Amino acid sequence: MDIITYFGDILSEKINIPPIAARGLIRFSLKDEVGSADTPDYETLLKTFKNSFKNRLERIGVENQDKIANFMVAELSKKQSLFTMSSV
Amino acid sequence: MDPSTIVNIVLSMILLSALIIITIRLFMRLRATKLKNLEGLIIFFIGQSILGFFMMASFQLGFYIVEVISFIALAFFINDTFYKNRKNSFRIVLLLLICLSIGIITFLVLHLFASIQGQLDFENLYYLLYIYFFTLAIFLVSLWYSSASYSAYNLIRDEKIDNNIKLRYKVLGFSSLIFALQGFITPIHVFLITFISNYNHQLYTIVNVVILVIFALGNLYAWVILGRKIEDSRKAAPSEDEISEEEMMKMIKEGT
Repeated sequence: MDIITYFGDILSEKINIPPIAARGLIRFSLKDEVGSADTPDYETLLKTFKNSFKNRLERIGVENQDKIANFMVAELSKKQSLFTMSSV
Repeated sequence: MDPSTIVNIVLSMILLSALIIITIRLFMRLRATKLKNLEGLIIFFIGQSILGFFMMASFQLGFYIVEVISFIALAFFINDTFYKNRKNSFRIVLLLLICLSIGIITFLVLHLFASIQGQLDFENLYYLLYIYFFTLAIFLVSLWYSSASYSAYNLIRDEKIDNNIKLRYKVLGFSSLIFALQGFITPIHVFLITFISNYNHQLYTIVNVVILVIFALGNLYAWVILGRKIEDSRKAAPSEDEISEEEMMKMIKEGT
């Protein structure tokens, strides 16, 4: 299971965009944040959702970007064990 | 050698082998994934392997120290895996474990002088305090581990996730629950050994090892066997074509 795919699908449902675009949005946000989207860990993705992801949502004109970013942070926080359970 | 001793030795060998295999696998995965939270789990299994190796030996103070380190490491693993940056019971569990450890060590040191003067049976005192610590630690940490695993499973049970990952949560939750049974039977055993003169402790020894074997085999299945299956399905999954920023923007504009 790929973590970006998983959270991308959640985002896709939340803001009603195609899953591939939602995954792309997370990937590009990760690249903005840390320069790479390869196997992000929990802390990196958390930081990304709080910073560069929110900025990207703002740039592309998505409404309620704070609410969406907070929703993604909450989802990530609740499901953080997937990082361990899907990769060990 | 009587049959119960042979059964005990065989089960202890199975237990020890399972614990060593789990430790090696976790260590390899730590190196591959760089997941720092695994360090706590590895320390826990190293501790359990040491205790499993000396299972047949009579009680030593060193066992108590290994048990303390082992359970504190497991508490760190649970916190870092399930509850990082979330409100949880970690501080309470850790505080209780540390207070209890410090309290018992202080108590032991204070009584050391009495023991030197021959006023106390120091070996029995070690053992009783070890049991008190062990009962509390096993309840706190194992039940916490079990509830964390089942809660996390409930969050993803209906989602499109590899079934082996879902099964892993359930197996870890169940095996931790079994592990907690030790917290029930050990004080009962101490009570019986203290108050019943012809109490046969062979039954306790075997039940204790059976519980540990179930726990170890559960973890072997969850971390090693399911781990391999999860790894295989991850490798077999088709890699997704990455889209350009322009394509992404176009899709988002059309989709929103």
